[in-house]
Amino acid sequence: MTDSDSRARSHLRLVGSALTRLTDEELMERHRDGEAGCFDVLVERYKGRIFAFLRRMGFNHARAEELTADTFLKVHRAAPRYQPSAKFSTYLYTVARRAGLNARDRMSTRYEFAAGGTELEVEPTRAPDAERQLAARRSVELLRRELARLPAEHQDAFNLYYAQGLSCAEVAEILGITAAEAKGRLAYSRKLLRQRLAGLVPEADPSETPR
Amino acid sequence: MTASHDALDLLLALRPEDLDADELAAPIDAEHRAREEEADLALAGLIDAWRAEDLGAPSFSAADILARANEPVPLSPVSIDGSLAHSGEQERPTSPDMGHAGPTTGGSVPSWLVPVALAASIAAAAFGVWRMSAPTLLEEEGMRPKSLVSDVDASRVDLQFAVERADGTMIPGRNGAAYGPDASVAFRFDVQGEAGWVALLEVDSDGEWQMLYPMDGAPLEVEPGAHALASESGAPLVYRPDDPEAGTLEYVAVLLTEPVDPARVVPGLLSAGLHRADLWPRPVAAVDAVTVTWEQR
Repeated sequence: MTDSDSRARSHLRLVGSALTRLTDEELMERHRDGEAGCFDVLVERYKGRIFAFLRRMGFNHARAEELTADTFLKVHRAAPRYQPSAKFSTYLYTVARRAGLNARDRMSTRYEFAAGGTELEVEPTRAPDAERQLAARRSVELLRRELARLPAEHQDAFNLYYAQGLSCAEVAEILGITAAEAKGRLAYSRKLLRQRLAGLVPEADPSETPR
Repeated sequence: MTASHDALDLLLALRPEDLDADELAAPIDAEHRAREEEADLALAGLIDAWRAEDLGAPSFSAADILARANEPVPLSPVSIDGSLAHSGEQERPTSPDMGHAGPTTGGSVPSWLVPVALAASIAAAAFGVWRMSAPTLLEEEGMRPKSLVSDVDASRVDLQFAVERADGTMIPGRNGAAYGPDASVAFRFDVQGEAGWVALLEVDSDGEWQMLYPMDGAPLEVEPGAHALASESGAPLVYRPDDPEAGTLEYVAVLLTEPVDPARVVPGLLSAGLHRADLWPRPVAAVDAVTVTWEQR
């Protein structure tokens, strides 16, 4: 093998499934350096999570999709400056939250879920467990409404920790607060929800579901 | 709320891996704990159901994002080291350490502002204008918002700027003024009180923000006094609008008490609001902002 062959081999790019084994940070560095396919893996890896995060911030499907796309567009455009000094996922959530906050500020009703209710309407169904499903959905709606009454920063912490499964340290980094503050917000939120929902959450018997 | 309740609230709210040894070992009344755990059980079930909800899925792909990114955007010449690059097709930067010294050059710079090189004589003229008249002019006009200062730190930062018109003349920047799209702008921080670290960001009318300085790395360490924004080589950093419809933009100088990555505190700062010093993230000591309208081409 000549030196030339050796150099050529060393510059072969990972393609297809091999890319999916790379870490987020490795993918982002390669995307920054112009390697094709890396951004695709990152988008597929995170678009569902970012979309769900934004949905739980209160946006309907179309708006959440738009904001998710905007988030990835920002990340792509910032790629030339990317340095793997922090975890990529926390950076991504930070960008997404910023997009959500900006959009939220422009919304006439802060929380579409809580105000509109159309997202939660239950389709008529003849399934045998329809009553139970209805009760469950109404219970979740109760939780959602109580969540919407929390301060916005607490809602975001709750969303990131419980729905997205991030650690306290990651939540703190995304929100720009200390880990102790993140813990305090989560403990406060959970306690408040426990108190506010006490007696409101229906029992297993669907006949006790609030109407 | 007693200390015991605080510890219990943490235990009920957090996953074990997020609790430290002290929190795990905190003494808690067993009867009280059992009662609260039972009450928390229903909420835990609700949270599980809330998390498991089917919220749908986005339908776009990475190709859609890249197609949007490739929509043509007019570019200005780009350089911080004296030579003017050509607008047109951009090259993707390949050096991993680029941009550490301030606004980066080349590549798909997302900002509508990109740094351009001005002759040293022009930059010197700009600073001369500042020294002679800028602060007085701004104060007399009464348009400038006062520097906002955190309760925990009495330091102040005063953001000033100078504008180079298309005809090459330099004028002191005025808060709230409008300038032609071919003008360039350079910034200066005037720090009072304690030494600190400064950063500069741009916020548009939609609340979108981006860091103008530093693009990466640490903010600029400054002693009390006036400091022109410059690269590591000492060359003044001068910016030019890169979007023909840039509109009205706010430039925010942030004075930090620690050399943290400013990008990590900006979300918290903007979320709190520039006027809510009591809610700012801890390292933020002071901010000052000016507004500029860029006329369309």
